[in-house]
Amino acid sequence: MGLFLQTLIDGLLIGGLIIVIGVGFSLCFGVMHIIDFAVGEWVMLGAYTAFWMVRYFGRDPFVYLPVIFFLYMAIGYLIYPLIHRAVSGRRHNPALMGLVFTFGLASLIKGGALTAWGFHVRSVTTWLSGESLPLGFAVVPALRFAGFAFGVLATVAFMLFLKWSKIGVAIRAMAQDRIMAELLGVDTNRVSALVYAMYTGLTGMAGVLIGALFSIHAGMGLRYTTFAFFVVVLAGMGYVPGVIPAGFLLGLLQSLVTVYVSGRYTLLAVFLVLYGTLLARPRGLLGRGW
Amino acid sequence: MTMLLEVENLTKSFGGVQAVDGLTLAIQEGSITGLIGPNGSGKTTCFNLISGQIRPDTGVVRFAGREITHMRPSRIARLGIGRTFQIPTPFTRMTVLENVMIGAFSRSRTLGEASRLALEVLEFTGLKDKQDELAANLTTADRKRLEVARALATGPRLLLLDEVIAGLNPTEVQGAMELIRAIRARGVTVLMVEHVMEAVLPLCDWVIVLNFGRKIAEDTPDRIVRNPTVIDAYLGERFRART
Amino acid sequence: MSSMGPFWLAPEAFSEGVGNLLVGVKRISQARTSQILGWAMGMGLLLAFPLFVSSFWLRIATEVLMWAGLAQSWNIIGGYTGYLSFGHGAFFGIGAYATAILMVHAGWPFWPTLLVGAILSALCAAAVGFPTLRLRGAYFAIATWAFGEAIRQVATVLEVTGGAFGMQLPPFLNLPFFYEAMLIATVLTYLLAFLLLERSMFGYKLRAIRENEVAAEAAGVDTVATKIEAFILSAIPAAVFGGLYAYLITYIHPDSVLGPAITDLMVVMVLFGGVGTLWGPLVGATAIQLVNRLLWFLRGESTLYLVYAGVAICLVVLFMPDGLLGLVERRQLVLRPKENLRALLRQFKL
Repeated sequence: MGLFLQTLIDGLLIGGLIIVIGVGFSLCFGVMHIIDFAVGEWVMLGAYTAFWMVRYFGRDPFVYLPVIFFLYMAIGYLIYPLIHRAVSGRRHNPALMGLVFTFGLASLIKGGALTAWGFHVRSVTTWLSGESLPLGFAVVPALRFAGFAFGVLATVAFMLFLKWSKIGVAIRAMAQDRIMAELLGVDTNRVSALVYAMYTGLTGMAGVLIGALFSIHAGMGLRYTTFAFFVVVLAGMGYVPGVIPAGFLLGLLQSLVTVYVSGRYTLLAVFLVLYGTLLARPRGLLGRGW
Repeated sequence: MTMLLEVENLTKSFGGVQAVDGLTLAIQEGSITGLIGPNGSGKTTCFNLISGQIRPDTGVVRFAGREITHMRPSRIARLGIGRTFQIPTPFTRMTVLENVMIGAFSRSRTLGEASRLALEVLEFTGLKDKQDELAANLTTADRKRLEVARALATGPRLLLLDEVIAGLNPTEVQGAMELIRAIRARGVTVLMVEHVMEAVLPLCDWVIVLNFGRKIAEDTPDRIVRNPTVIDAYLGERFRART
Repeated sequence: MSSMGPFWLAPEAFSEGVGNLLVGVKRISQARTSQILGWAMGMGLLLAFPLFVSSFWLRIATEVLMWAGLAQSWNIIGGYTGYLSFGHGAFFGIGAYATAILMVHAGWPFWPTLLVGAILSALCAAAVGFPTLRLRGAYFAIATWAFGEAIRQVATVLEVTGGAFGMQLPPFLNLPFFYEAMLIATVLTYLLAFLLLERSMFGYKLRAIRENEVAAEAAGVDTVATKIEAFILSAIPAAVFGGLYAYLITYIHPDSVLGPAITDLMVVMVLFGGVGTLWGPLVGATAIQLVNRLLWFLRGESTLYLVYAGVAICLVVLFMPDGLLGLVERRQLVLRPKENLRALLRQFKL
C-alpha cells in the first residue's frame, strides 16, 4: 500500500511539471493551429542550458530559471515568423507544411545538440537534490515537490495572465475566432508570436527542472514530445483547461508503469493509451477537443 | 405519394447556440423546393445534417424510406443525395474534367467509364469546352457550375443546392435557373437554399421558411410572399407591398 | 455493408491495380518498338551496372536505390494523400527485425522473411490507421509518430530483438546480389506507384482527398477506406526494404533501423524532390543521399546529417514547397532568393 501511494504521489508530482509543457503546447494549437513537433527539443535545450550555465557560472540551476525563460522566449519569438511563413504558404496545404516545418526544426535542434554535445549523459544537481520531505504517509523527494510546485505556480500564473491581462484577452479571442479578433484590431501576427514565445519560454523552464530531476542527454526530447502529444490529445486538442487532468493522468501512468512493470515500457504504455483514446474518444477525455 | 426526403424533429446545437430546433419537413420527389430564411436560421446546418457532414443531436433523416441519420457523407452521396457547398470547393489543382470525374467514380468501374460520364455531365452543365482548364482558374460563376456538375456526376436522386445563385450577374442568374429546370427535367429532385427571391419564386414549386432553426411556414411561392409571419421574419415590406 | 464499410471488403486499389496492370501489358504489346527498346535498354543497363563499376560506386548505387524506394513509399501516404506519417521508419524497422528474428532464431531462409515483414507492417498500418484516419491529419501525424517511438522502445526492451545491443544476421557478402535485389524492389515500388496512383481511380481519389477531403467525401469517395488502403500500401515497400537492408548490413539495432533519422530522411527526400509526384522521390533520394555520402567522406560526422536534414526540410518548406520537380514545372529555376528574403524580413518587422 505504501508503495502504491508513493507511486501515485510521484506520478502526480511529475504530472504537475508536464502540465506546464502541455498548457503552452495546447495554446499554440488552439490559437495558431500549429503542432510543434519540436516541443521535446525545447525541453532538452532548457535542460542543457541550465547544465552549461551551472558549469560555467556555478550556483544553483533554480537561479537561472528566469534567464532561461527570457532566453527561450526571445528565441521562440524570433523563430515564430518562420513557422508562420511555412503555415501561410499560398500554394500548399498549410497545416501540413506547418507540421513538416516543426518536424524539421525538431531534427535540426536534436542533431545540433548531438553534434555539439555528444552522446554523454549529463546531470545537474540543486540544493534540493537528495533532500526529502516526509509527509507522514509517504516520503516526497524535495526536488520532485519543487518541480510540482513550480509546475503549479507557472500554470496558475499563466492562466491568470490569460484571464486578466490585455494580451491574454486578445489571445483567448484569437483562439475562439481569429477573424473576428483581427477585425476588432488584434494584431494577430504579434500575438501569435507572443504565444509561441511564451510556450518556448515555459517549456524551456520546465526543461530545467526535468533536467535536474532526470538525466540530460541529446535524445531526451523524443520522450517529452510523445508526452506532450499524449497530454494534448487526451485534453482535447486546443482545450487548455483539459491539460490539467490529462497531465496528471500522464504522470500517474508513467509512474505506475515504471514501478509496476518497468521504466522501459513507458513509451509503449503511453502509445497504447493514446491509441485507445483516439479509438474511443478522439475529442479528448472531456470531449471538448477540436 | 411517399416523400423522397423526410426530416423529423431534427435538432443540433453548437456550444450554446441552437442552430436547428425541432425541424420537420418533407420533400416530394420531382419537385423543386426552396429553403429560405434569414441568416443564421439554420439552412446550411440543415443541409449539413441531411448530407451527413454533421450528426444531429436528436431527430431522424429518411431518404426514400431508408434511415440515413448517422451515415457517412460518402455513403449518403452514393445512396443518391448530392450537394453543393455555399463556397465552391473545387479540387483546385485538377482540371474541370478531373473534378467531375471524381464524382462519377462511385458509379463507374473504370477510369474510362468515369471520364465518359463526366463528359456527359459537363456537356449538360455547359462546361464542356472548359474541361481541361484547371479549376483554380475558373470564374466564380463557373466554379458554382462545377460544384453542380460534380454533384450531378454522382447520379443523385436529390440534389441539395446551397446558394448557387447568390453572387451571379443577371445573365448568369438566368443561366442557373435554366440549369436547375433542366436538372429537374432529368428526374432529379432539387432542394435549394437561396436568398435571391427573384430566382426562388419563379423556380420553386414549394417554399419552406426557416427562422431560428425552426420551420415557420411552408407553402407555394405566391402564398408565402403574402404570409405575414414570413414577411415579418424575413421578406420585409417590399414583398407585401407588391402583392 | 455497414456504414463504415470494412475496407478489406472493397480492395479497390488492388483490383484496380491489377486491372491497370493488364491494361498496361496490353499497351506494352501495342507500344512502338522504339519505346519498348528504350525502356528495355535502360533496364538492361541498370541490371548490368555491377559489371562495370567498382564496389565503392556499387554500394552507393545500392543505397540510392533503397532510399529512392523508401522515399516513394512515404510519398504514397504523405505526398499523394497528404497525410504525414511521421513514424514511417517503424515499418522499415519492423521489416528489418522480422528478417533478423526469423533468420537468426528460426533459421528461415531469406526470401520468406520479407513476406512476413510485409504482412506484419501491413497489419500494423491497418491497426494504426483505423482509428486515426477517421480524424484530421494532425492526429494521424501524432499517432504515427508515437507509434514509431513505441516500436523503437519495444525493440530496445524485448529479448528476442536483442534489446539495445541489436542483432547479428548470418553474413552474406555479395554486393551485386543486394544491388540487383534493391533495384528490383525499387522498380516494383515505382511500378506500383505508377499503376496505382498516376492513372487510376484510386490515385485520383487520393489526390482529391489531399485537395479537399470534405468535398471528396461529399462527392461519394469513401475517404476513410481509401486512406487506410493507401497507408497499408505505403507500409509494405518500407518493410521489404527494411528486410533487405538488414540482410545487407548484417548488424541491426534499434537506433540504426528504428531511429527517427530514417523517417526524417524519407520526408526530406520526398519534399526536396517534389511531394506527390512520381519521380520526385527518386530525384530527392539521389540528391540527398549523394550529398550525405559526400559529407560523410569529407567530415566523417555521423550526427551532423540530422542537422542538414532538418535544415533542408525547413528550407524546402519555406522556399520550395513543391520540391525540385515543382520548380522545374514552373520553369522557375531561379529560387527568387531576394524576394523570399524580403518577405521573411518583413515578417520579423525588420
